[in-house]
Amino acid sequence: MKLGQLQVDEIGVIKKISIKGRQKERLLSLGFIKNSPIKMIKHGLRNKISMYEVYNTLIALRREDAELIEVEIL
Amino acid sequence: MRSHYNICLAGNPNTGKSSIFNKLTKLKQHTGNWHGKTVEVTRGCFRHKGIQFLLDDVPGAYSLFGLSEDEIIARNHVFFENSDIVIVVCDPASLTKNLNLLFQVMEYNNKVILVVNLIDEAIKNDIILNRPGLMKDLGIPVVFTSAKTNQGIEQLKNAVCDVVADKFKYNIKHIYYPIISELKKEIEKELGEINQKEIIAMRILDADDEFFNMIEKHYSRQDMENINKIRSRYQGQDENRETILAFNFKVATDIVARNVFYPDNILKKTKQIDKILTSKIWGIPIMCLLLFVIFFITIKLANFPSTVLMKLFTWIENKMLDFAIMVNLNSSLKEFLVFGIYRTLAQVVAVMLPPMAIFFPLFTFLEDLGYLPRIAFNLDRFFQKSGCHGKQCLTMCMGFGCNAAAILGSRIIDSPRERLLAIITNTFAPCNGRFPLIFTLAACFLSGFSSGFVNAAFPALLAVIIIIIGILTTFLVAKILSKTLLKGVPSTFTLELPPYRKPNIIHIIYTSLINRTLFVLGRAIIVAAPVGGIIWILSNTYIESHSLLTWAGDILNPLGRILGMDGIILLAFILALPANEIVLPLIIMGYTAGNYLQATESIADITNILNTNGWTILTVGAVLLFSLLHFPCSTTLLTIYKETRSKKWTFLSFLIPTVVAIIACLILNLSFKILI
Repeated sequence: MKLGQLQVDEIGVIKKISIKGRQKERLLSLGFIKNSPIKMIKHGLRNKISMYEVYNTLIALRREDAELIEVEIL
Repeated sequence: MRSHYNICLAGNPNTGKSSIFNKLTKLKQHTGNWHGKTVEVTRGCFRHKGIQFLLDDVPGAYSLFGLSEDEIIARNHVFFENSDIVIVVCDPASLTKNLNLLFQVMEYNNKVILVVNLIDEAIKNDIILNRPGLMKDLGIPVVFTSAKTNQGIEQLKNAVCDVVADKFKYNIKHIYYPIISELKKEIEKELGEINQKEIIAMRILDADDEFFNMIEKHYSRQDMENINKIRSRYQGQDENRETILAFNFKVATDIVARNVFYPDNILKKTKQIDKILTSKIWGIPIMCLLLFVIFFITIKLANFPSTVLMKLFTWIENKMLDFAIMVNLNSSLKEFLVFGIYRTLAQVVAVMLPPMAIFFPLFTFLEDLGYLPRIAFNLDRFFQKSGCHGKQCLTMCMGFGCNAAAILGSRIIDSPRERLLAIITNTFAPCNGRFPLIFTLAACFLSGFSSGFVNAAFPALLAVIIIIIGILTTFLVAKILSKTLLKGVPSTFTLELPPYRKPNIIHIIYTSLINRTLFVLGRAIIVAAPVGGIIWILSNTYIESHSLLTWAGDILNPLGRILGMDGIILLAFILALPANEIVLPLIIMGYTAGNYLQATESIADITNILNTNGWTILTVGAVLLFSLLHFPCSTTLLTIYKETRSKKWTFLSFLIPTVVAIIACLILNLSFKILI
């Protein structure tokens, strides 16, 4: 499933990131690494942006970008 | 021993890197609890055990292969500056992620020191770290510091000295990527001995064209051709990069698991606060309420010191006049100095200083708390709809401090299109040079309605409305630009929401008063003195029985009237191009230039002067709108030119806000005429 589809407080494991090049580098270096756990913390207005926890850091991603990340639920 | 050594200070954003820099160099650079505060290399120096060190603070970066300009600056520094030592500053709360950057730096530099900063916070959160274990596993010096409590700063200086004296035995266990050794042989065969063989091998595997363009000038043409030949045999750089980073994270996770103990849910407190501050329902109302409270406190407290300052300056003025008579000073020169230059200066200080000195610390408090990224989170839906980058909100908030600084800060936005959007619309965030105008005018015309609590509540409410109008204009103009001149869709971005941190009051007062208030005031004074002199000359040079000031005012008057203002106000806005701080003092000088007996000793006196010159509630509204929306100051324009290297975009950054301001004032004036 897509990262954005996680329910609040649900933990997923990152499987695939379909973003290319240096944009991907940014996500990778923040810990969006294959097989790493990621937790949905909360949604923003109209679920257009959401807050995730990855490697003890809170990161917000827009829905469009979260759609490009594939996760599996533990 | 050399006479001096170069040190590079690197690290993830938000690790307190700049605070370490300040502690080491005793230079006071402003730090903030959010990404992008440092966008340029700051240099300082310190001396320890008789050795001189030059310290370069580079912008915070998550990776040396990032995209945005601040990350590129950091990377180039680490790659090409050949620092003797690189200090990598880490946050213990998210050490795994931080170690990834450390590994990247260690690929390029053998003399690396790991600083685990914010250690006081870690102890408070029951995080337990094993320093000898980390040193053993990484093979490099590790120092625990807290810039706040000064802990570990001496140890860090000692470690630096030990490293340059070769007293520390490095035992780096480079992460071993099997494929590299094969590739290294290939490179040796075709290129012989070249610089940085490992790095070239590694980057052939995982880097894009931009990296090789960047290193081009450091290798001979023949070498570059050979490198490119080998490159063409390798594919899948993107996947390799992912594999290598995944490997880095695995190593980092293992090291952290062995040496750091984390209690469950260390972000618990931050998440609880975020439940309220970034709530879908309450997030934006709370933001407005916070703004209101800040404005309320500012307006409530600024009145008294303003009055005291005005009285003091009038007293000094009388003494100066007495002195001038005593030394028999030429009367024109006396008037030029006292009524021209001195009075304008006094006005600027008396009107601007108190609101600034109260507003900035309050704003810095929110900044240090970590609230600004939360504003970005709350407002993102609107930025998204306008085609803007999610980090534009951060540059907008920076604009409330200083637009020129915010233009520099827009380097955190990596897409050129969205960066231009942020730059052009930045002036709609009133900078601290314009805030006092809003506060003073609001206080002048709204306090009369009632007394007590409401006395400051109405002006504060008006100020909040002005800010909201500014933000809405940002959305509107950005949206129009995204559909016309700057077509496109927003690029991918990540917004880090740092843990809430308790602000350090002394730090707040120091940075907001010294770095901001005095800086802004100093600039205002430098500009105010000559402009005050010009005003005096204009009002005392007569052509056909009218002073030049009257002429200029009369020429501008028709345009001013259409916009709901008058000629003198427009003239003040034009003359205040170098510094917005002096608009109101210039207006007052313009009105009173012919009448030196009219002293201003309180806010009520200012109200009187404005009233006698025909100001109505419409004039106040028009001046506020024009001040909010008009062209940026000359420093900002210069910064825009430096950043964009484009006359076209600099000119548009001047033109678009000006047109917006004119349209807004026209609409206000028309609707006022129709309704009343």
